[in-house]
Amino acid sequence: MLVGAGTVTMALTGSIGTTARDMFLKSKDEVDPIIAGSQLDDLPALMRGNVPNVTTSAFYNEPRRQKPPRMCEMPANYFDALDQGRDQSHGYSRRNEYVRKYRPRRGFLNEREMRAAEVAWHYFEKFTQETTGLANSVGNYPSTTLWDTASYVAGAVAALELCIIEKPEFDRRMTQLLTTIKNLELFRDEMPNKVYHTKSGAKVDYTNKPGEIGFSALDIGRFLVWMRILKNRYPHLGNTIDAVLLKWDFSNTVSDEGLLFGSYVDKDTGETVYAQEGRLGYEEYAAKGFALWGYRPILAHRAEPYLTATIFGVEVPYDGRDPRIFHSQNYVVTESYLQDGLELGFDLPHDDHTPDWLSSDGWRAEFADRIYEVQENRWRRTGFMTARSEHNVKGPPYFTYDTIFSDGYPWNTVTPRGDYTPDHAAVAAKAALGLWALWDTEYTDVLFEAIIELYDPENGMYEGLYERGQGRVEIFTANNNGIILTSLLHKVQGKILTPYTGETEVWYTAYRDQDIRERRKYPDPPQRSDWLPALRHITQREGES
Amino acid sequence: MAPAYSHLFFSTFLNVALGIMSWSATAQAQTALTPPEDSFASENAVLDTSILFAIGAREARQELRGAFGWPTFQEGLVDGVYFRFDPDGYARFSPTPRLDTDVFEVICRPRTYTCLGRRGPVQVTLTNRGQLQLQIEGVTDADSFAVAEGIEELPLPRTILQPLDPRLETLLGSGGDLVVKRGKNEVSRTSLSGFFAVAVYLRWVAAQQDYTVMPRGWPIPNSGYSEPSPGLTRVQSWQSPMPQPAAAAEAQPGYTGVQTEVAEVRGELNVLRELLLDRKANADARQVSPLAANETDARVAELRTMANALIAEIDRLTGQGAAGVQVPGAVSSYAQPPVPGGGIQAPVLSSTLPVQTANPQPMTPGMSGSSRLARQLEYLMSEIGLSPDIALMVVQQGDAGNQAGDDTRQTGRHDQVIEGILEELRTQVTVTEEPPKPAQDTEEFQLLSDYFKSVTDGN
Repeated sequence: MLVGAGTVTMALTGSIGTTARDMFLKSKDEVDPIIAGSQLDDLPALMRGNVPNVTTSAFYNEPRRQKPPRMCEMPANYFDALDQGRDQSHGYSRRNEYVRKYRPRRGFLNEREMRAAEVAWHYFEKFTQETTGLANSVGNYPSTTLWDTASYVAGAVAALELCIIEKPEFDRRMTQLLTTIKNLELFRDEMPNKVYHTKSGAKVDYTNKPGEIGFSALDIGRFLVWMRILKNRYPHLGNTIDAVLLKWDFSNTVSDEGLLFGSYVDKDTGETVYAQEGRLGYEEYAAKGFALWGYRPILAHRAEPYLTATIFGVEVPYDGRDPRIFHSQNYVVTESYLQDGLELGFDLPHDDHTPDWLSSDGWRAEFADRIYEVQENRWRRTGFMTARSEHNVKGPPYFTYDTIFSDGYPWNTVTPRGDYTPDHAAVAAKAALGLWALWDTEYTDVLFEAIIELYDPENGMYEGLYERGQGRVEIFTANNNGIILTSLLHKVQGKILTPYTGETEVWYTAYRDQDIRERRKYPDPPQRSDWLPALRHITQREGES
Repeated sequence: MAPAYSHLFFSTFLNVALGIMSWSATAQAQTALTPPEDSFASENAVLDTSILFAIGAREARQELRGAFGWPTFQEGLVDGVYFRFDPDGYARFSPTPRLDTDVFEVICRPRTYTCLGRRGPVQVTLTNRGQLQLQIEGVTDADSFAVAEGIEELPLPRTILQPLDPRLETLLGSGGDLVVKRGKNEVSRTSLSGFFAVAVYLRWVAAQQDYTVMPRGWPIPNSGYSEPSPGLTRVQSWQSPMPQPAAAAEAQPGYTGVQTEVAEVRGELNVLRELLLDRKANADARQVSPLAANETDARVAELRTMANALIAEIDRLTGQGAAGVQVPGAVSSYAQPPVPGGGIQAPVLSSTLPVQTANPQPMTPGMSGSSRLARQLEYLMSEIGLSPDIALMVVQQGDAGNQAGDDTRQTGRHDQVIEGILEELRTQVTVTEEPPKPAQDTEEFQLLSDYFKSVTDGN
């Protein structure tokens, strides 16, 4: 009986095998035809520049967000129909998008806010150099960085959109500025030097003497964010912006692993040294700037390695790289989170369709909420109004990191060389207004009242208010006034970055017939596979592996 | 609130400082009181942070995010306190590495080498003669002073409010607390931790980072000399506004063989030079006030004693009346009348050295090689203060020099090094010293150098 069953099984097996082979041989040759330019077409470099940039609106076939009108062109009921997601509960979505616990403030600017905006813009009116179109970083000190130049661009965009200036002045300012930047002498023919003299446009050192220091990947990253904002909002400036960036050599700035590298000059050999730049907060913000131009700084965009410190019941994330080994402090300040929220909506660079209340770069929004909460908790438990950021101070040491956490200490206020200087602790005006814009709470109402009239009509908004009662931080900076203008613009328009509406870009098509693109590491238009990942993180406490 | 930490009170701080230091230029004082909004100015850089204040210090980069600031600073640990200073002279000294408690803060008048140290009510400056001057806020004529260490209190004279003499300076620099009392009530108590280091720093800055002002025993670094390449703030391309200090010019390519040893010898020579300068200052002061004259006399007597002791030791080592000894001794030099048109002249010094070199001292009869070596080592370590390895090196070099035709290159190089140091001394002394005074006879400069020669060549 067993033998009989075995015979039947073998016969069936042989029959099925024969049938399958016959079917395979008789079937049609179903090879997908490769359409030129389609995803299956392995385009040569010469042609890849024309491939459309794949964004979320294209990939998910969703409508793109629209650029909001200028405030003076908005209908009176503009905000009535605005979807602010008030009915949404906070938390992560399946795509790791995040709905924040808090909502931003939205609406027209009232009289006090408008006056603050005008005063802040006056800083740039007063301290922009006629010869170059560059704005001074600090008052009348004729020096600037790309970071602060981005703040000037931010101020100009806000001034235009808030109807403080009109398009002719805006175009004049931006064209002169971009022309100057295009002609800046680069650091060793590579990337812009960290500092330039605003009157002459010459590259200088930190003492504003002719010289070169190196370049900063963080400064460049912020500048790239604002170049993308400028280009997407005002396509008529696109070619000029592309021309600026197409002079730069990115070959040493974004590594193959996706880290950002700045550079400095070796004091002994005089050679260029490239060093990883950026810590949790600023690193991710700068990484998004590069990603907006087609790069894939995937490691720089990740939070890891990070740890958390529990302060007033909040798990505050900070960079886990040991300063003793990496020789770079892990300052936790508000600013980088504000910029991400105000300018990029805590969204991923390829996201051009989600509403403002949904942040596609989820963990950034969630971390930002923690940064807000710990500062509110400090106010509630100690009485200290708290809006911490890096800021300039009058007199030595001229600059201070007024941190939420750094070097193992909460509320650590340190100089760049590491001295603990608690008397420099201040409510930073830019942080206060930024928190007010992104977190519509009772606490930020208090911050607003403390800051909104903190100005000198002749010079702009003051840097801040010392928390130990020494009065105002009597210094005026491009960064502070630029971020304040950005915050006020966010109230009116929401996320500052708007989608790109063109078909292709010179940035992606230029030099296709030469090897310049490869040598300078210019990217191809990003595709779905190039998107930075949307992640969420479990809490990692110090001491845990 | 901790006033010592405050940069925000700088304008007030400078105001007080101006009063204390009798800065005469009222207009300039007003400028300091009301600095411009953007007070950062590259011209304020007066220090080169690549010149190390003490052994173990390092120059580091500032983590700047803004458009301006000092690109470098120097930090280190000396005499039990951590310190950091910027190119504009601003410094903090504290027993904790975070520089957050017991901070002695030093601020310099912009673009000058005139600085002031402050902790709480105590401020310390340098007089024109280089003496420390204390100022204590809020003291009255009825107040008394003491140095407290635990429960022990040592009363201090009111002269601590006058330019400090070396003994008081040493006492205050030894630590403890400076206590101000009004009757039985304690008015203030200020830690003196870091006082000594601040005093040295003030002098070092005033001397434009010249190591000659460092006190005996100070861990003078030698890396500033040994670096073959220029420091960060001395790179030509950097275009630093900082002055190029004399020490920087001494860095010579290839000058790397015996830096450590040379630095030790240089330190000893610096001590000698400091003694000379002190005595000169005291001699000048003698003409000013009777009080200073007394101090000067005491100091001269102290120097005479030291010189006598040294001469006696040299005589003991080399043998009394040995031929060719070119060390006439300080005692005889004091007795000598001033030489018209003489004083400290390099040719005199240079003419004596070949004589010594050409006439090595004979070994003392009856002294074995090992005992001689032991005596030499003992002397170099106990009296001169050299470390054992350095002392051994000095002796070995001396022996090597006596071996005719034996590896003369090495000896020659050391001779060149020593000759270089002596030449540097001559140059500086020739430049800085005034015309002839008996107390500044060339013999004094021969003293230590000739001693070394006598040790290395004569035994």
